[in-house]
Amino acid sequence: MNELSSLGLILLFALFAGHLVKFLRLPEVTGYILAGVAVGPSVLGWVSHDNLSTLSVFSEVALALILFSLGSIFEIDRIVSIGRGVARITLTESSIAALLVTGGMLALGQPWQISFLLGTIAMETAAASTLMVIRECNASGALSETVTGIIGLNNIFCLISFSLVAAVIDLTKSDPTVAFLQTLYQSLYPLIWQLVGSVALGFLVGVLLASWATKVIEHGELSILLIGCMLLCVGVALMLDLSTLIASMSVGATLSNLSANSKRLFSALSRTDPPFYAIFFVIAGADLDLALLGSIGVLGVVYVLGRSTGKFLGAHMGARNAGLPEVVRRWLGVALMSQAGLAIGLTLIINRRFPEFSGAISTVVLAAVVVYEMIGPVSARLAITRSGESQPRLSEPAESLFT
Amino acid sequence: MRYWLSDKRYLALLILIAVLILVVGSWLRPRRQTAELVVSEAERLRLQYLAQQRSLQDFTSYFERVAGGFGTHLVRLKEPPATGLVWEGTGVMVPGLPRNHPSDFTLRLDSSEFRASPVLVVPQLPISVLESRLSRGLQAVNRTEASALKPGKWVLLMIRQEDGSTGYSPGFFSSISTTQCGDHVVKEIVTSIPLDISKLGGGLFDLDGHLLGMVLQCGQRLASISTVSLNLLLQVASRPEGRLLQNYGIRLSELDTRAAAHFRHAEGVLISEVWKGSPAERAGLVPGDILTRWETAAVRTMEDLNPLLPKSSEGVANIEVVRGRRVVRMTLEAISGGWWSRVVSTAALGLQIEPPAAGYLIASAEPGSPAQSVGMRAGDRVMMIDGRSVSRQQATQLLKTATADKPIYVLVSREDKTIGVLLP
Repeated sequence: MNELSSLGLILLFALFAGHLVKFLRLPEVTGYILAGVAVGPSVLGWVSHDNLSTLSVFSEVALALILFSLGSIFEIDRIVSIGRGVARITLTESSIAALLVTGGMLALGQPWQISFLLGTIAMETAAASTLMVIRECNASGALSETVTGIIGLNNIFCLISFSLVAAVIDLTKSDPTVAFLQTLYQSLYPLIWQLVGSVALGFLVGVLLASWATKVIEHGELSILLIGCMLLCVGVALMLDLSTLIASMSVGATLSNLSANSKRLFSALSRTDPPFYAIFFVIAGADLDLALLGSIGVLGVVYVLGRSTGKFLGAHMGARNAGLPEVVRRWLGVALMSQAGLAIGLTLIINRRFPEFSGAISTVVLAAVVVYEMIGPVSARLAITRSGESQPRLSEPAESLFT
Repeated sequence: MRYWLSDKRYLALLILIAVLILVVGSWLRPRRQTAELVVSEAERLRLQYLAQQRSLQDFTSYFERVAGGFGTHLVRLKEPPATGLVWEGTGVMVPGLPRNHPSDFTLRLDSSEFRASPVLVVPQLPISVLESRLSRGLQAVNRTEASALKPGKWVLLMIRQEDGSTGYSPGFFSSISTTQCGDHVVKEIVTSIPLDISKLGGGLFDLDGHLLGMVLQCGQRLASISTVSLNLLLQVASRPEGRLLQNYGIRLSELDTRAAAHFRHAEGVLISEVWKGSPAERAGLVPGDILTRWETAAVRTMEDLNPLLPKSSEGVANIEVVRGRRVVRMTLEAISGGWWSRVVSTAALGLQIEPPAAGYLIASAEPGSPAQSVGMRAGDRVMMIDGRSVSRQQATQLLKTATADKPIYVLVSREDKTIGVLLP
């Protein structure tokens, strides 16, 4: 099957599955992911691995768009009001999750390198699926606001601590013929570059977007501008070894801070992007290898349990310290279960950088991602509906073709 | 904040900073490229030259040219037939010489012949060293470690043939493996070149003219032994144990606590091996004797012995050994070129006569058994136990009842040597 027919199948299947899961009171995201699993190589095999690698361009764009809209929460006024609390909660929940996973791995006799790398990966909460669930539930309130803030910061924290651990591993195994400073530069520079450079790139693209957006009125043109800018941002980021994640978020943050009518852009986005998201989640689902679940092993179970407990406890403690209401405390951790994109990205980095540890880590993380992709969106939706922040979506009546 | 940002000048400044960050940052970024390994100029030229060769003929002529430069390192040993390598100065390394080797050798270089005498001949060492009386025309080899080689590299195996001409076989280096060569563990260079007896003593060179290894007899087969191992073997031979073995035919070992308790003697050095036909055997030494005095100096440990050993390989030494409760004095004679050559030759009439087999044959030694772990093998013959000749019944009985608290000292005969072993 060629790429175009795969794409068509993916979209239709996603829509169908989205309808189907509504009856089961599951989030649409889960429907897309399940549709992906069904058409993907693990089950029906309608979409092959070759198709998937071609279609990964769409995933990149979709992820960039999602993170772009996530970036809008970094509005300076909002950072001033809730930033400190969110930062603290993020720090607590991710460090406790990392601590539990690392401790569990060490207790199981894994080398410290594997334990710490897994710990840092455990910090990550998938931005895309969580954000989609929030958007689907049309949620607004303390919980969804905190969750949005946390997943924005959380990914950055995860990236930083991963880079630090990787740098330490590089330093301990560095061969003595290479100077210490050289090794330090080799291992720490990418981190600084990824943080500073990505923000700089995102800022530049954001300025371009904001200044051009004032000249554009029509909705279609706005979509073209937006997608063009995001493609440019992702492309340049990949070219310069920057983090597409941070760069895309910075575009959103820059835009929401610079442009008074950024709301217009974000709403334009929400009307343009659903096909991209559907493709993104179906591809993510098709990429899941169900066979991995069988090989999850003791390590995988410890990882899943440690991370879930850590997220839950950490979020609870953090929310209590920040003085958030009881209902947020209870449901915050549940909403943060998803894990996908960055975790998979980090395992790919480990494969390349530390091939000696990649076997154990890949097995654990990829199997855990299968679990979390299934339960993550469901638990996020549960948290949002139970906390009473969900609101019925205003349906936009489609114009009938036959009138 | 928003008003501040909306000021065009500040915004322009920020944009400038961002652009600067991107430009400088991407310029500073470490490049993760697969570095191409440094190729020496000589190697590059050679590759270039080899790449231009179109036929086997061209290759052959190239190797011939390279091999032609190695002739000064190679000599031919007439009897026993082998190639020798000029090792250092006038020292020529040849494959390990056999028992009853002559004390004078004829070496051949191109068309000239010259004489050489043995300076290092240790029983069962795969190498020997001859001292040539001619230095003109000889050039010591440049040695290098084969571990620096990459698999697939060209190597040349060079020999000097009987008529004085040199011969070579080209091949590829494949790997380095560890192999057992007599009592020694050595590094073997594995190449694509088939080894046969005509290549014995041949040198394995890389195309830069460095010696990588030498073809030597290892048990029943031939192997290219790396230069590192050759150096190690030379060191072993020059240590006191090796020198004692070479000059007198004895091997010594430290008197450990178990042995000291068994022999009821605390100081001295235990004679653990005596070679048949050696000056030591002729003087009457047997394994189990404890050396306590060399000339006038007392010997307590192996270290004491080192400075006492004579520098020259000839001469007479008066020693004192403790055997049981008696102190025995004897005179050891060292023979130039090794007593190894004086061992009674029975090959004169073309007959090899084996001495009558004495003692009880050890038919098998179980792997992992105490006997095997101390070095006894199937084929050894039990000659004496605790200094006494024993009947078969007694031997069986004693071997059966020996315990760790009450060990027995067994003398076994193996090939050309008599060995003492404390069992179990």
